[in-house]
Amino acid sequence: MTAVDSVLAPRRTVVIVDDEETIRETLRDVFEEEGYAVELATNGVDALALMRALDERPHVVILDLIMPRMDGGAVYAEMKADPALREIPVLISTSDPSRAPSGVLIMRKPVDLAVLLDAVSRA
Amino acid sequence: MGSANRHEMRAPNREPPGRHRDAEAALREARAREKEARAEADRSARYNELFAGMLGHELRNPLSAITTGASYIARLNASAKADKAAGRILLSAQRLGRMIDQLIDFTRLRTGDGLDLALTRFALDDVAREAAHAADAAHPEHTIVVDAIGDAAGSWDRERVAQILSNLLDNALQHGSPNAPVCVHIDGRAPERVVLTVENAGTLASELRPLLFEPFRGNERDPRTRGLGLGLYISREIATAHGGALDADLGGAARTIFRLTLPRNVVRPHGPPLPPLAAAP
Repeated sequence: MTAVDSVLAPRRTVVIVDDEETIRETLRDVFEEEGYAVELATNGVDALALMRALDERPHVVILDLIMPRMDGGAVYAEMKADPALREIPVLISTSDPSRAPSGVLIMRKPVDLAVLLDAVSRA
Repeated sequence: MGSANRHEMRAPNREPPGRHRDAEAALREARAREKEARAEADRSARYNELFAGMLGHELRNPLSAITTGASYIARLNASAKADKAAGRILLSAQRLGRMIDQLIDFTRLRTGDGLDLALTRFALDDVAREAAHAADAAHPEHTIVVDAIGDAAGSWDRERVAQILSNLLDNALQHGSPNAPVCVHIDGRAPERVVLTVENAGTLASELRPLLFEPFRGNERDPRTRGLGLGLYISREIATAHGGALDADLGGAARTIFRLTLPRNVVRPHGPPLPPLAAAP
């Protein structure tokens, strides 16, 4: 890819779902700095609506587990049941890994930023 | 006179039946109150433990924001001063994170949930060298020597074993003499177990020895000790959860030795294994 192609190429989108505003906003700054487009949701219901409304499939979803309205476990289950969403890679970011669904990459809070960036780039 | 004495001695048996029943009722009531008070104390202790566990989990959210923010500032390379400040924030956040982990572990142990083990096969000397490397960076004034003999491999929870090693090394570096190296020795010659020792120069005060593996050693602790006073208690519980043991040999002349014994294969891991906590894909 040339420099021009790189500039013209659509940015990969990271969806951050977390009810903690400071986490959402800090991760937004980090991923935008790294060249990603960022979409935010504060709960599971909004996250599913957001993902279904996007024109392009997100590159990855960083998903908190304990949230109001719909928790991350229910979001993950609904994504797996929806053909339009089931292929989106999910990273679980949680304070309580024992609640996480099986078969998904889990990062225990506080998340190591270098590990998170590496995982997102490989997703 | 003698008659009066006999009368006094027999008096309790001559109480009217009504008073006797009153005494029995009072005793029953007192026992019921005591039972209720014990139940209330148990409920209160249980709530305290649940609260501590919930608090531990909740604290991880703001801590995650602090850690991510400080890491982000460090990545920006704004200035040497900003990098230094971010580094200090990260170190403090890591220390806070360890205390939160200990609080959650302690709560799990107290509520009977036990420690989950995610078993993988690895060599104990690899984890020992990683822990020594990390400890070395934090205590450059000390020297840590790691050596191994025999086969050091077994199936254990890598993160938990690293937690034990980190704790033992921290203790050795805090309390040991900086003039002599801290020696980590792994003996894998026995077919059924691997034994790791951490040895440092210097001895613990005799009054501290009986409390070594007690939780929250508080004011009785050595004033150089930092943290909650849970590290050795949790380390021993991790060893026990693996079917192993953690002991201290404090009787030697001017040396302190901690000995971790792990069976190569855990027979009865406590609880279902957790998925990896922070693995690369």
